[in-house]
Amino acid sequence: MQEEKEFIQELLNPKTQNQAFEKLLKEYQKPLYSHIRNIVLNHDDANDVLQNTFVKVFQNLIKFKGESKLFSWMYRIATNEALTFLAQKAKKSGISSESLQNKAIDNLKADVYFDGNDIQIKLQKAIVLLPEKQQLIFKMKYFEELKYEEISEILGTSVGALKASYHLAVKKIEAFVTKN
Amino acid sequence: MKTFKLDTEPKINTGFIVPENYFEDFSAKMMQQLPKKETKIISIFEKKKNWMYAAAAILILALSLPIYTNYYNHSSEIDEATLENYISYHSTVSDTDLVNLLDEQDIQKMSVDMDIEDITIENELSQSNNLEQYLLN
Repeated sequence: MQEEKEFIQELLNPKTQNQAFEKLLKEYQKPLYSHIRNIVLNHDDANDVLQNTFVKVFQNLIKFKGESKLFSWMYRIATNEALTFLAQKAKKSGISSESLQNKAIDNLKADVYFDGNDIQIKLQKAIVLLPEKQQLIFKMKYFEELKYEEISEILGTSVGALKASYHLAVKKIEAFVTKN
Repeated sequence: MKTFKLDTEPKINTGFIVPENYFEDFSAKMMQQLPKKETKIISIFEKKKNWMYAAAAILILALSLPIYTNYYNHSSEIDEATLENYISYHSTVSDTDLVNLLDEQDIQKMSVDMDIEDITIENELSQSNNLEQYLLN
């Protein structure tokens, strides 16, 4: 924690800022990209959201009080940015968020940045049927392999509730894949 | 039908891939794009100039305030003093005319308003040189 405080100071100090931010990028761009891509599904969108996320992180560092960990704070920003992006995109296209997601899944087959087969597509289709929060929890636990404690810090939900939610999500997904 | 179990199946990855060198390019691009946070240096002179503009604006406002209030305060009612002065200097109405216009009720009212005691009137009259003439008439 002390180390993190020092790192934040480096990020705020104009002399060390650039170097520190580069370090932050190197450390977090991959996990944050995966997190965002899992929400928005398409690479170009994920790239846009990732950029916005880092700009927001940079702009708001001064306001970061250190009440939570830098890691969970950044994940929270990324999650909000990705969800807002999806909502705006759905609004622009005049369709529901769910239809937008379904469309994105259908587009995956033709996506050059998708290397999967039917099972991946089926899994995505099962996930889309879950409530938004359950989707997030499932993706963070199953794909991103985050610990419950970490997810709890990011989403502000108790570990117990997360476990219950994940369990429920798994059951629904298994039922969907079995049926289809 | 075989029941699908996530735990027993080999781990299913997302299948998401990124363009080659994406992350290297991303961090390089990001470092260039970062909003410049340097604070703009404003010279003291420039600051002073701003103050001068502000002071000038306030001064203009302050000066225009009486004009503004006067402009909107043209009341159609004339105050009593103005009216009285106007009549006394510009009218051809003499005191005698005014006295003739007064009826008994007005005089009563005036005596109540002014509350003049008899003794005061007597004193006033005794000091006047014209008293005899008044008496004779």
